[in-house]
Amino acid sequence: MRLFWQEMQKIWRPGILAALVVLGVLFYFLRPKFWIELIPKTQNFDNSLMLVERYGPVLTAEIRPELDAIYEEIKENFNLEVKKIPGAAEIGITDLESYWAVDRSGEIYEVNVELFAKLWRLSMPANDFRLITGKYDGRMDGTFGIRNSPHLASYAPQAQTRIIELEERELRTKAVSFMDHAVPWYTSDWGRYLVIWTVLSVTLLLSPTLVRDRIRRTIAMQWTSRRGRRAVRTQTAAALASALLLALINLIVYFAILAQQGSLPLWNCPIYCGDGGIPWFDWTYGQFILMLIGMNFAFALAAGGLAVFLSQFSTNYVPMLLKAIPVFLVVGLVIANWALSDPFLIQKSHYRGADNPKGIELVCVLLLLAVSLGSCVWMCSRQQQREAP
Amino acid sequence: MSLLKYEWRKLAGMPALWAFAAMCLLFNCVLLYATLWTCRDFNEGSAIAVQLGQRVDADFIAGFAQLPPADTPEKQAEQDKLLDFLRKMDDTLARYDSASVRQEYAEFLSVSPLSASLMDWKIQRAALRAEHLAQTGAAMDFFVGPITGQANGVIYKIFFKALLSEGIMLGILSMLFLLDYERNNRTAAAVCSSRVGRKLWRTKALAGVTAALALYLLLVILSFTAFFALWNWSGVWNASMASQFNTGIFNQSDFNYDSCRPFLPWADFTAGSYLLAIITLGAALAVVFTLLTAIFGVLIGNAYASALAMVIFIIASWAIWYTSYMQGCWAVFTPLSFLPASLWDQTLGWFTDGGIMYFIPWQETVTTALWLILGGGGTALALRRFNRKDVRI
Repeated sequence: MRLFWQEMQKIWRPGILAALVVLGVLFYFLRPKFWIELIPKTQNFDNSLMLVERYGPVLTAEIRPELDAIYEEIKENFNLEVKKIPGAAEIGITDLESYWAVDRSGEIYEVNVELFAKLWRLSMPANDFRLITGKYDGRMDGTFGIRNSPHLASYAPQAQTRIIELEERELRTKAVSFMDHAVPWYTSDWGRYLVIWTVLSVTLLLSPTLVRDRIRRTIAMQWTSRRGRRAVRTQTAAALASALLLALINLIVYFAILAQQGSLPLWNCPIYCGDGGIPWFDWTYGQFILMLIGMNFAFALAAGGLAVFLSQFSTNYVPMLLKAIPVFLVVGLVIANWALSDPFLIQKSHYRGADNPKGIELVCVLLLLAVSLGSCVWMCSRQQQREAP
Repeated sequence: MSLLKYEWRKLAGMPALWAFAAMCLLFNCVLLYATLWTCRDFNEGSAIAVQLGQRVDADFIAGFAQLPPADTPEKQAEQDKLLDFLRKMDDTLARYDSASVRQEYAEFLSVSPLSASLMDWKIQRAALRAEHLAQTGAAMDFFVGPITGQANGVIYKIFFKALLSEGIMLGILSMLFLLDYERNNRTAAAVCSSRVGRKLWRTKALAGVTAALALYLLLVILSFTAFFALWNWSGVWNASMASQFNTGIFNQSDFNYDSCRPFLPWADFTAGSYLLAIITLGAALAVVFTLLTAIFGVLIGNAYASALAMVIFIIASWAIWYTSYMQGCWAVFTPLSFLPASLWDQTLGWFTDGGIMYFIPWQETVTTALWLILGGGGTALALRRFNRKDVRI
């Protein structure tokens, strides 16, 4: 065990950690920050938080009439506030109905841009809230949905079955998620960038693991004893433990940022929201986040295992970097980027083309893990027979 | 010279380097495969240019009207639309209105007087260029028709940028390998014990720079061999880059303040001479990054730490430049647009007026020359310091 902690000490070097902190901050400000901060800006975000707190994660037929009462309150508020706006009454806007009548004609914009902006801002809560009830009513009477549209034929048979199943279940239970589809969408970006950063940081941290011993010529000395021969097992264990630990640290930081956006109260809302993407699995928002967290650890192990395995073939830091760069590009920028773009949805919006087979992301990650951990096991087992370099 | 040869030999004996270069080449081929649709349209346009020439005049239009009908109704509709456009085509550069452009930028950059005055001076120069190009009728060149902007976007924003990035990475890693070689092989103490031995690091820096150049050129030759096997350039070598069909190139840019502007090069570039100029400047930029790595490598004395320092330097400078652009902080953005990282990012506008990205004529050339001097001078100073310090093992 003492050897394990010594190896951990060799991996967690202050210089590399400082560089990782600087790179991590730069990475966050350049990429994920923009997408993560879009979560609370999604449509009806505040309304959905309020409704979830009051009624639970789904809108049902029993709750539906109560929403009309809330809408009336919002309307009343508009009617009161609009009287305080100078110039509104002059163009015939005294309540919400009259505002919409003028808005539809497009006259306000031509008359007064500033007034239009004020009225538009004031009408936003009512507009947004009407979307919730309107969407629910439309889905219950069959106006929305894919199953009766010609668009259904463009999906693969398995996907068609899934779409019909989801839409029919919705009609049967008359329950619809309060959450806007963009919330899991942007949360998947949070997960995607977390994983990409984890892959990069783990690769940078672990690539030098076995190279240092070669540079310092300690291998020949170690291998003269039987116990020393087994050092590579401890080194690999320490490296994989470090990968998980670094993934955990990254996760804590990113989770704190996600929690700050205020979307966690939607934890029990189903991620299927009708519009947006169609998920293969009946997950809630919380389960979706847990899946992203699982992916973070899986990719950390995969990248860590590959980095350590490849570093044994490097005599110094430069050949090691020449291997670490492709590891990051392939595992982080290609596989993780693809797997976590709209993960486990029938179609990935950034990748136009055929449907995404059910669970393909999981298969990919498991394959990657098998290759990575299999390489590590093979490296440890053949260590006994190898000649000292 | 013999020392230089030994250094090159050390580098050539690293299999990982060649494997990495092969992977880069493979990646470039994948990029070419991914852009086959654009390539197909480019080749069709190029075939028309071979048949009818580049300048859109009465003969060109008459020839175009007699082209065989297209295979599909959609394509035929596109061909008819293009013929209609060609009949009405006029010299857009003759209509170039520099006054409105100057006013637009003056308002836009009003928060930073220095940026505004530099931009104003540049636009005046660009107006002279537009006048000259209008006299030559460069905007009336067909290039490859409506696909020109998109195709050049693919070539200069995706393909060439990938090539340049790979060249820079290879240069940086070659330099680090050579500078760290003696320490890794425990020969540093022996070599540094004599004055002549200490000079070896100067040879290493030279070997690193030449190796970076050679690797970049090797990648360029092999990648462009694959490129020209797919893309038919026979009709476009002499096409003017200022062709009005090339205006759409800036729609490929990630920076959208001024994506619809004419392609106004500072010299009368044809497609061929422009490609050559871009490749040459790319080589110089690869050398700049290699020299900057030499400074870090000599001062830090550890390849991994130097690589991390170099990565942080590149990303941090690029991040500040990009953020200042996004925030509209032009007083910061203007000097930072003279950084190598920002130059690397802007391959799409090299040798042109560059819109909001560039503040002086030939900014990319000036920036590269400036950083070559800074990089070279910095390396010389770092080596001087190294010669006076104790050896660290």
